Amino acid sequence: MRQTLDRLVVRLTSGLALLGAVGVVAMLIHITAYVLSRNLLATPIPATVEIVSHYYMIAIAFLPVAWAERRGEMISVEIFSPLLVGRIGRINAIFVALVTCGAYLALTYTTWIVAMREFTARSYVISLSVAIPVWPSYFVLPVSFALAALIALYRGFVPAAPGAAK
Amino acid sequence: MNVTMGLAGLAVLFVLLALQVPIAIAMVAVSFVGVWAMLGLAPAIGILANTPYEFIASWTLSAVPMFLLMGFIAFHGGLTAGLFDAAKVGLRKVPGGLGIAAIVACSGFASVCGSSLATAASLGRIAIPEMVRAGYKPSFAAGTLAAGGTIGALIPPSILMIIYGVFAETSVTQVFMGGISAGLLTAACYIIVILLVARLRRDVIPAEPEGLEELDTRKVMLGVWPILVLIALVFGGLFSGLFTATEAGAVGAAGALALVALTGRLNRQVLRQSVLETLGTCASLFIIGVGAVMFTRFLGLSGVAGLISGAVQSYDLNYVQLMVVIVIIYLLLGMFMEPFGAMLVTLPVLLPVLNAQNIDLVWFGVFLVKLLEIGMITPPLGMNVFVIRNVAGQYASLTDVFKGVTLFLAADLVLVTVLVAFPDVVLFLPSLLR
Repeated sequence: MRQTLDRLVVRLTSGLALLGAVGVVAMLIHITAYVLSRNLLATPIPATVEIVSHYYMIAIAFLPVAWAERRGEMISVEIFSPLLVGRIGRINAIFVALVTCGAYLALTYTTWIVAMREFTARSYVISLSVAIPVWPSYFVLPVSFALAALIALYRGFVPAAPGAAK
Repeated sequence: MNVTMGLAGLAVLFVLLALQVPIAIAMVAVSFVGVWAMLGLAPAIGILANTPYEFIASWTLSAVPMFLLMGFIAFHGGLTAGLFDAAKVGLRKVPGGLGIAAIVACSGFASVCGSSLATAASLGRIAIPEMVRAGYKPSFAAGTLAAGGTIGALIPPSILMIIYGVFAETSVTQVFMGGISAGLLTAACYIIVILLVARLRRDVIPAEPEGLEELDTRKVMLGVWPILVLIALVFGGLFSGLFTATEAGAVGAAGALALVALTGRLNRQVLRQSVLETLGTCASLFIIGVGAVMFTRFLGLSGVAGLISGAVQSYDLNYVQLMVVIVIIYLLLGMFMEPFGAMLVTLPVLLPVLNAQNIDLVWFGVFLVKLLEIGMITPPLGMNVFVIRNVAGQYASLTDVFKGVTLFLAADLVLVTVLVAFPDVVLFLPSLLR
C-alpha cells in the first residue's frame, strides 16, 4: 500500500516535471532559432515572444512545482531549525503541511476560475496579425497547484521512509 | 484600520517564516487572508487568480531558465574545469598566486554562471584541496572560495539581477552592466586581501608553495579555450547588439551545448542533469516571485508601503543615512535569509522609498545584490559557507570557514562604502548604453 502510494506520487510529479523539462529544451531551441534567423536571414520567427511567455514559461514555472515540493526543494528560512526537532518538529511539520496545502488549494481554486474564463472566451494574443490561442496554457496552473497541494499533505503526514529514494 | 492589518500581515509573515513555512507559501497565505480581511473575499480571490499567470508569462523572465541552463551545461560539460589551471599558470610567480588564481577563476566562472552558490561549490571542490596541499591555512583557503563565490551573482549573468530588474521595472541589461564593475571591484578587493596576507602572514600563505605540479602551458590553454569562446560569444553578442540580455541566455546555453559537443563531452547524463537542475531552481524561485507580487499588492492596498516611505520622508533622512539604514537591514536579513527571499520580501516596502528619494534603480540593483551576497558569507546562516563546508568538509569546520571569510568581509564593507560614496563607479558602464 505504502509503496504503491509512494510510487504513484513519484510517477505523477515526475511526469509533470518531465513536461516542464520539455519546455526548457523547447525554449532553448526556439529562442536560439529566433536570434539566428533574425541575424542571418533577417526574418524573425513570428510569435516567438508570445509562445515563449505564454507556453514555455508557464510550463517551466508551474509544472515542476509538485516535483520540487516532493523533493523538499522549496526555499524556507532555517534559522530556528535547531529548535524544531523531535515532537515539536513533527507538530510543526504538520502545521507547515497544512498551511502549504491550504495555500495551494486556494491557488488551485482561483486559477481554475481564470482557466475556465479564458476557455469560455477562447482567449488568444495577436502577434503580427496572427492570432495565437493562449487559453490552454491557463489550465497548467490549477493542475500543477492541485498536485502540489496533495504532495504537501503527503509529505507532512507521511514522512519519508528511511532510505526512501529521493 | 487597513494599516493595522498591513502591519499585522507583516508580523504574521515573519512568524510563518520562522516556523519554516516555505517563503512563497507564507507570502501567498498572508496576502490572501490579509486582503480578504481588509476588502472581502472577491478582491482576495482576484489577487490570487491573476497574479501567477501574469507574472510568469513574461519574456524578460525567460532569461532566468536560459542562463541557469547555460551555467549548468558549462559546468556539467566540463567547460569550466580548466579555468583554475589557466589562472594558476598565469599567476605562478605572484605571492599568494594560488589564492588569487582561485578568485580569478571564480570571476571567469561568474561570467557564465548566475549563481554564487554554484560558483563557490564548483571551484571550492577544485581549489581548496590544492591550496591546502600547497601549505595554505585550510580555514583561509575555504574562506577565499566562500567569498570568491559571491562574485558569481555580481558579474553577469546574474539571476538575482534579472529578478530585481523585473520587480523594479528597470533594464536588466543596464543592471548587468553595472554588475560588471561591482563584480570586478569585488574580485580586486579580494585579491588585495590575499596579497596582504601573503606578505604579512607567512603562516597563512606560505612564501614558497609546496607540491605545485608543473603545468604545461599549452595543455592548459587547450583546456580553457571553450569557456573563453563562450564568454566572448555572450558578452560580444550583448555589447554588439546582436541579441538582448533576455536572448543571451538561450544563445549562451546553445553555445555551451555546442562547445561541450565539440570537446566530446556531450552525453545524456550532462543534458539530463543540466535540465533537471534548471527546472528545480526555476520551480522554487518563480513561485517566490509570484508570492512577492501578491505581497506587494497586499502591502500597497493596506497602505503600509506608503506609511513606511512616508515615515522615512518625515525623518528626513539624507542619502547617507538612508543608505546606512538599508545596509544594516540587509546585513541583518542576510544573516538569516537566503538572498531571493530577502530581496523579494523587502522590495515591496523599499521601492516606494527609493522612488521618493530619486535613487537610481540601476545603481540600487547592483548595490542590493552586493549586500545580499555579503549575507551569503555572514554567520549564522551563510549559504556559501555551508556549501563550502559540504564540498571541503575534511579541510575546515563551519567555524573555520566563517573565520576564513572575516578579512574578505572587511574588504566587502570597504567596497560597500565606496559604492555609496561614488555611485558612478557602478553607473559608468550602464551610462555608455543610455
